[in-house]
Amino acid sequence: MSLASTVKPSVASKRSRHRRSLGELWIAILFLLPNLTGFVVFTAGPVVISLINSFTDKSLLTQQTHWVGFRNYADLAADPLFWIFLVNTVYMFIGLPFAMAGSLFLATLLHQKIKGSTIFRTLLYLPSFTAGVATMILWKQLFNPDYGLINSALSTLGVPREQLPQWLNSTKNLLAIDPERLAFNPSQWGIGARDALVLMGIWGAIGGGNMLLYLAALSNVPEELNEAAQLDGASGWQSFRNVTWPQLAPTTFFIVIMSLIGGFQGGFDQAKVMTNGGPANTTTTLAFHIYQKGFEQFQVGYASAVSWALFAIVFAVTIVNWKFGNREDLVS
Amino acid sequence: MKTLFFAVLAGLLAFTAFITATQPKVELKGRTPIFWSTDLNPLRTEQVGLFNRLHPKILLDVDPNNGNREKVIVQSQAGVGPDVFDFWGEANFDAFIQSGTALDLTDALKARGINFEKEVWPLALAWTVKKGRVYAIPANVGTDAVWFHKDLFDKQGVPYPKDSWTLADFIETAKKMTIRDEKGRVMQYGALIEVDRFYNEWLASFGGDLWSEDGTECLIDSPESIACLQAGYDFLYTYKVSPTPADESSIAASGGWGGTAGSMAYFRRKVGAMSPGGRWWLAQLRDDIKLKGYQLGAVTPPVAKFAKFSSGGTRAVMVNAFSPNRKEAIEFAIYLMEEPYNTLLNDQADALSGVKSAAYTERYLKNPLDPGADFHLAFRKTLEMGVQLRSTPFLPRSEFELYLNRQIDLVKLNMKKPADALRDAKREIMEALHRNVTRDAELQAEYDRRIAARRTS
Amino acid sequence: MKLKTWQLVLIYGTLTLVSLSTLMPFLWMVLTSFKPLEEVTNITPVPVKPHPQNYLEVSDQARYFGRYYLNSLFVASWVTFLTILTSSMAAFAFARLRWPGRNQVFTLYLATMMIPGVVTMIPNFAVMVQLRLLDSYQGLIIPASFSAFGTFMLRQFMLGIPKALDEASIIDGAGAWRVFFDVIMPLARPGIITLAIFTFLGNYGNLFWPLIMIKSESMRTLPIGLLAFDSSYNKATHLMMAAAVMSLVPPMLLFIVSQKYLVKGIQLGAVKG
Repeated sequence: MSLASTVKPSVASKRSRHRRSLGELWIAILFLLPNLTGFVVFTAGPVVISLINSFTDKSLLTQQTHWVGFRNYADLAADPLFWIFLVNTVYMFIGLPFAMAGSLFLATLLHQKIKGSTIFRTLLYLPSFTAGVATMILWKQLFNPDYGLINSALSTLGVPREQLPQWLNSTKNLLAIDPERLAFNPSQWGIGARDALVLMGIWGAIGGGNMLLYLAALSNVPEELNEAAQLDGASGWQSFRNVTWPQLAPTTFFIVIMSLIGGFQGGFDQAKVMTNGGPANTTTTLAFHIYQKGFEQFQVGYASAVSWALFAIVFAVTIVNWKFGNREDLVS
Repeated sequence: MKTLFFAVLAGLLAFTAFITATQPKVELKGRTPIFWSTDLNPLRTEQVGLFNRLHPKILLDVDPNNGNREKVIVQSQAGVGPDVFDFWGEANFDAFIQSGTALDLTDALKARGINFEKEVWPLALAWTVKKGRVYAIPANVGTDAVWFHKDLFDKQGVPYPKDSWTLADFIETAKKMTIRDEKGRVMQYGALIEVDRFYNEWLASFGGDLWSEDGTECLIDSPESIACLQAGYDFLYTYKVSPTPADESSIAASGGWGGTAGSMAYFRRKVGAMSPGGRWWLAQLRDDIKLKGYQLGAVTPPVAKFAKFSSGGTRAVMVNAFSPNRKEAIEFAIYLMEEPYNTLLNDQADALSGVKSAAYTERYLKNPLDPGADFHLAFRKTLEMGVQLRSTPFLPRSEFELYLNRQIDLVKLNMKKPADALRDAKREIMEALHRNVTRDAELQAEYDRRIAARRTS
Repeated sequence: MKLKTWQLVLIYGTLTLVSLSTLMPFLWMVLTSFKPLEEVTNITPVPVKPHPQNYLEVSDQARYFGRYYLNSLFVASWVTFLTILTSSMAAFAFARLRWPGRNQVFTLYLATMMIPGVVTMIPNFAVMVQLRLLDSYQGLIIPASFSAFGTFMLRQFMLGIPKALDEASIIDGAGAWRVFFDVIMPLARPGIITLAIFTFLGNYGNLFWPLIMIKSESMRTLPIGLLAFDSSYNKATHLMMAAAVMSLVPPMLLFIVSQKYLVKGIQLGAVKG
């Protein structure tokens, strides 16, 4: 008999649940304390300090700091660059659905008990291992419009030379966004730096952590459920959609949230190593902008304000997602 | 599960014991340690070694920042910065003085009989002296001259460039030295011009400048300035003697910043016959001369209108006012002004020494490390013609560069005409300047004062 | 469920194709690490004159390279251990225990992850200075060991474990601690191993924090060491690739070894479920 049968709580345990709730507070504190202490000191504390900083004109250059209220926030809202950088950041999400679907697909393939899955798993995880300066430099070479592997491959496939995308040297993009202002500019339609980074991102993410997470989650899906569904006449796709997919919901939710959070904060490494935010600021994401403002221009107060503005956006998006995809989570 | 936990913990503790036991100990032997925050240039090793030999009571070591001045600022703010550190540029210079990190060295120098302003290159004064007080010492000074491959010129039968040549000469020579194959693709570029660097270096030669003298008006849209950017653009797209960004990107072996590292790599591969470049290139070119038999020459940059060039600067060193080893740190600063260091630096060709006199010796011209070479003279001559472009106190340099470089990027990509680009940049810069000034009452007052002075003059 | 032949072909085909694309850059890296300097910019991937001395030259250029290695391994190992310890305990508290304020605190955790890390660097650094932990292993290890991310991830994972198993234990008289150690942790093993891999890799390759914390050369970690091969003065791409390949060996080993446990954990889960 499988252990999946549930135990119904009796009336008596309802009363003890209340007691358990309090009793569990002590135990909870014990479990929580190590992580929570570090969290407060190294995360929550600095976060609060940065919030305070965002209301000042703190600069690493001057000894005195003055309270300026919401001025930093007003400035960033009025700065056209802020909005362009926000668009640059959001643009990077174009690859997210593809990367996630890819990870899930690869995970299901690997989940079938085939020989050699370990080798495949290692190979697919390679981009996550080799992530770093060396890989980004490599991709820079790959994207070279004249000598790079990608354009060479495209031209052997018959793409004429003038139509080859200029990748990291081009301000063109798939949404035809103008490089100087927030507007659509048909002449800017094409494949350029932003798309190059999206492509590189998909490559890096597809066999990486998300795939492992899905693999681990798939292993927790009871086999019998799928088999039962198929005995009842459901096709492979249907049993996946109706049985497996819902079971993967907490993991999917986690991946979406983390991708959103990470994505909004991302783009820094690529900008620093590969493009320095160019060409013409098209690959400057908000994270890179914050770094430039805070560490290259030393305006800590303003940089903190931009960070908190970014936080507000991410928070809003996350809340929407939470409401949307997390019913069972809140209950437990 | 429990066994795994304890096994891992035991392993980690053993690892800890091992790693602390094998910690390499620096033998201080009674010496005072000081740290120098500088880049990862391998030439530092000798420069540091020389200092340590001359000062047996001090142990100098390098703390690498690889150009990240953030690290210095962050650490200094926390009071634990390096004892001495490098920086580049007027913005940083002001920043360090304002934050109280820079130590005033004027008296220490006077006590040693060093007449700072007379001894260093005028070009270096912009980032070392403020209101008559010395805050930094130039570790090296450099400008770009024009390197060229003698053998490529010999092959084409084109006479070598000469020191007092004009921009028109340069363009003609570059055209002659650009070789194309049957399909029209370039096999050799006449000149390796990078639009942004060209603009910065030749702006003074065209008679332009970035800011007005009082710093209230941005001058990048002046006819001279536009002519300069147009000239740079022409090298790439009109005369087609220089690589476009698409070609450029395959060269730089790493990093998002092509910079001189980009054209240097091209030059080293002989894909360009001439290239503006610094004397510091020699550190790597020496390998090529030895291993590949390169024959190199250098001349002063071609003149547009005036014999003035503005790409130069100094990598300067400051003493950290918060350093606990101030005396020793000052010793290092003094060392940078003395003969052994300056001679070593010129030998190494780490650009040129900050102290002028070291470049006017026989040894400089006939560097023992470069037998038969005649290119050293050009760099000294160019340095004599070096000027600094103006800046403004009313807008941070980094913000200024953000707007300017954005537009230059578009010109580089052939997406905008130089005139339009510079006009747009100026508009954005002046808007940013006004935003910046209205924030700070003192700044606003100063700005108004200067504007008023203008009107009355 | 037996797989039909065409399904097998499809599976192997897809996996091979994708694996090739992930393998190629790595291969390029390895091949370049054997090239002498002149050949680095050649298009042909295979070195004409293989130059394995690159691997030895790495320690000529970076005198403490072996030490950087040890430092990175040391710090990453401790951080991984502590992270898993504290995160799993906290995750348990969020996923299984009921206590007042639980959801609010969790939201707080989530919320702080949305702050760009760059901005908390400076206050964090100031704290380190106050605690005199600059240029020390503790300074590198401690701030990195308290992960909101890890807690979040393991919580999700634990939520996926059927509650019936706990309740069976509780009926048998087990307290929270027993449930944690004997029921949840073994089942969460795939999740834990995944977190271990993420944490180790993330910390191993971390650049910015060690860069501002470390002063002495002998305390540097690998990423800082790798940077040295890539300055504008020293484009020794061939050496950098050799150094990069060497630095990739521990993570690779970790991954391969952990595969065994990952598989075991997965199998256990399949049987129990």
